[in-house]
Amino acid sequence: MNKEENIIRKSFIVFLYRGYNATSFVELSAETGMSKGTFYYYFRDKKDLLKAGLDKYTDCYKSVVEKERQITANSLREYINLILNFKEECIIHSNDMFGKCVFDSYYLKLVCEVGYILPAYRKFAADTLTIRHNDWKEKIEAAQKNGEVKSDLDASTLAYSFFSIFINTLDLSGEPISQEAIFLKMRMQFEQYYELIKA
Amino acid sequence: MDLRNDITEVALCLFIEKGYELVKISEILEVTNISKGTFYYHYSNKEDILKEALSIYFSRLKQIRIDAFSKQKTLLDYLNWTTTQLDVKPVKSGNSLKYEILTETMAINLMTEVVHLFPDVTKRLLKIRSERIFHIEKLIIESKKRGEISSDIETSVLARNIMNIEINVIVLHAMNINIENAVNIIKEELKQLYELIRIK
Repeated sequence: MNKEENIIRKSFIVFLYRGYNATSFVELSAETGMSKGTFYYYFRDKKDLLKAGLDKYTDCYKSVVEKERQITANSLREYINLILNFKEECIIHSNDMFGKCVFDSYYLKLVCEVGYILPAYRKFAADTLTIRHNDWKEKIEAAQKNGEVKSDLDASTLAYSFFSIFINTLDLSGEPISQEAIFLKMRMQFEQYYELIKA
Repeated sequence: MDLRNDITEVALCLFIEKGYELVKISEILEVTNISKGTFYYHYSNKEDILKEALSIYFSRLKQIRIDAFSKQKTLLDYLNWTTTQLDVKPVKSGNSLKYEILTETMAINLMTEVVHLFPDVTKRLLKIRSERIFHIEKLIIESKKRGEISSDIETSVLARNIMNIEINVIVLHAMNINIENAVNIIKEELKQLYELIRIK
């Protein structure tokens, strides 16, 4: 990995878990080992560096969502399991790429924080979530039609509740606990919902 | 209400809304209509007012929790209380902190940002969160005993599912759903979950 790549990736992780505005050059420099000279050789300013990191991650995220949307299953139960497995794989993959796990929820928090200077990422995240919410809603409705899930439930509301489980990672204590522990909790939460909603 | 308190409350709301770094002292002066001299009579710098704002924030959260916890006898009480908390919009006026759930969530960015200045923030937030979880679990267990909700539901998982719905405001915010609609969605979610666990 070249120097510039290395700085972009490491800085992105700092922005992700510390927040953009809260991160000073001193911290970035401590994390990446770059000097002020190196920084200004590659980047115009802090925003430029953030943008490079966001581009890199957003590209990954886009292809991940595309793959996620292609997942099909015979039942809602199977769909839930496949999505959870897929998301866990992606987290492991992000660890290979950025040197640390990148959780969707932190990405969302970051794009919301910097939405006022970089609105395009904010819009991309909002659009993606809206599309995924609709996908989930359709899966639930299909399961209601074929008798797998109780028919008197509001599918859209339930889809939002499923979403809320995925932000489980958004703890207040900085970096999240291990990805295994997080996914174990998510699986238990989904399992409980499933037991309650099945017909 | 004394002036110092008013200024601190305004600053707190600005910090929650915009983040600590982005709020300039000049903005605090403008919103509160005080002079630079008055500001520096009360505070030595921005970090000083942040420290005081956080202390107001945490003591307010604590008070709300004590009041609410003592009044809630059933899980339904808790859920109804949560939705009434959500009824009010979080705004920058003096008394915004009445609306615990939204502000607690909205304040996440601020808390992440200032953790390096005040490391104990994390500990306090985690304590609040675990107290809340403990309270919800207690209500769940009592509701099970009374036969209000089904007893084969795993208590700690249900408590997490309820907490997650409350935090969902972050996702809804990211989806550009306005706050009134977001509040309605969260209310519907809590209502639907309660209907699912209630013994009919």
